[in-house]
Amino acid sequence: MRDILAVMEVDEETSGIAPVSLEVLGCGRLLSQGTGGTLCAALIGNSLQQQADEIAKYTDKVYVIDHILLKDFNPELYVYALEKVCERANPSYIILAHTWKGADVAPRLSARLRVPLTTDCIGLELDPTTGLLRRRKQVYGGAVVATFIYEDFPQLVTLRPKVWEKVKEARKDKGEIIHLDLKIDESLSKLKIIKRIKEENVKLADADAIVAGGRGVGGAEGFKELEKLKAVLEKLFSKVEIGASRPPVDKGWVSPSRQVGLTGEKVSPTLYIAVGISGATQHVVGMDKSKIIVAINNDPNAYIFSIADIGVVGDYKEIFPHFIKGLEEFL
Amino acid sequence: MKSLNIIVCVKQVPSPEAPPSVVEIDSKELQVRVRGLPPEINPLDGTALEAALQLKEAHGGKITVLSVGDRLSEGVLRKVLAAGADELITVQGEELNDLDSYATALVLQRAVEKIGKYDLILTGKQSADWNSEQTGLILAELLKVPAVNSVKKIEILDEEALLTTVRSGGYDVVKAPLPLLVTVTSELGELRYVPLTALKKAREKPIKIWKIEDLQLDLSKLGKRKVVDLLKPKLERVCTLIEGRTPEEKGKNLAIKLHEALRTLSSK
Repeated sequence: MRDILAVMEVDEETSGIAPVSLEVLGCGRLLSQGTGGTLCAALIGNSLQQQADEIAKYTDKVYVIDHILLKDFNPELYVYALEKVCERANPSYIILAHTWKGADVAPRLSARLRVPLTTDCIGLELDPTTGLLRRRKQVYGGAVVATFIYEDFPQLVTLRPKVWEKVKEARKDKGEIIHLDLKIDESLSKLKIIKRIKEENVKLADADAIVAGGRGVGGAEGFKELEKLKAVLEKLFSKVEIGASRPPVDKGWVSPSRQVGLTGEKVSPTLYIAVGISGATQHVVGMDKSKIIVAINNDPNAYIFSIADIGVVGDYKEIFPHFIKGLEEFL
Repeated sequence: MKSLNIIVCVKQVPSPEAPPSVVEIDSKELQVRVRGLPPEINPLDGTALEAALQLKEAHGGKITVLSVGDRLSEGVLRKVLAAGADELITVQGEELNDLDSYATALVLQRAVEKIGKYDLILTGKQSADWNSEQTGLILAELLKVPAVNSVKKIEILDEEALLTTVRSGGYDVVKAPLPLLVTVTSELGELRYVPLTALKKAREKPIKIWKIEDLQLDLSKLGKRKVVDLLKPKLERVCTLIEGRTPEEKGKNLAIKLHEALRTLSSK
């Protein structure tokens, strides 16, 4: 009983396997090497033939539950299906990605399986004698990293995206694809999703450069200045996004999907430019893995300068035009 | 619409705005302590209470606040009564120190069942200390009521609720029957300002204190979180401050420095 179940996600835009799921598989592969167990995947959704073939390249077994009612994510139906996969696969380890879907499903699964769950893990270490996972997680707004264990099996965790190596090598042969026929009807869920509203599709986690604004940007107008810097950076990077700390989101200057931090998106781009951000711990831990951090702030004592590589003290509105011009000269 | 019976689950947490310098690790007890700052109501649970207050204003009804823990501060929790909650019930005891999400949800389940009737349970999506994002959803499963996660807007129609949930890349509008559990996000708004006079007045309001024995619950058989290590990560980097007398010089020097840094990075 040492098998691993990696729970896959289908990207709603591309219908392909979500990139984060390759990280879950990467972690799963490492675990299976450690335990000697098989690596299984759970694939739940609708019209999944192609995706199942893709996943089978990396796993020993793929459990597929394919149903029209699973097309749009409904956590009650999804957890029902996942519970059935768990019954069949009987894994000792269950790994999900800590995405909005994973965060909605994993606690429900925890209650149904009656095992504790650790969410948003940034590290896992297998104890080879006990088989227990030492789980590493940021707590207290990121000021502390805690390592702890639970003795209950299956060991249930969600992984923070972008922290784990994606699975690389495909197998020589293909894993087995197992279709579970499940009776799913609407009576299984009391929730009815009546509308899906698409906002601007921000994928902060995929950006390789982020220009982020905080309270010090001053308002929605200020974010237009940030757009100008973004436009120049787009000539240097393949994907640039506008991000924000919590105050601009709470004040409604930008959409919540742009929030970087422990309660928002965790990012690790090549370049992170923090404008008018003071550097509250809960923001910092969402971006401190960025390769180069630039901070621009009026207040020379702002904590953001302690965690930045390059800092400028001053009014961003005055500095930006010259900064942009300077960057253009290098193009 | 009938009036609403709302239960709000609230956690007392160490001050979430505490800078890293006052967060200390007791390596003997393996506990985190925050020096010099009083604990607070978890901000998102405050948001849940604010949502409850607004629903009560619109529909009438009763708000019961429920909190579980060890060393709960009356002063901190009374704020919920001052803000307008009708009743405050705490479940207290040493064995409730540092409970994880699952154990907390079990205690809450028993307490909710003891309270009896309710239409809506509201709580924050996550707490500011362990940040686990699970207690609400587990509680709903244990109570066998539907749960909607990550909600930024709540509307109550007769026996149903219309919830707007925050998801990656947009919003969902979800319809769910009552009774129902909802976890809320910060977009719903902070807990209203509570004036000092209201705080003083709230001192006269009673707080119900329940013990774990009152709930016929044995936590000893439950799997426990065993902390093996606590570490304060080093977030700090060596920051090169850009020199310059004018914004023009600073902007130009920043571009040069950044270009340099990017080149060093790509040559690695």
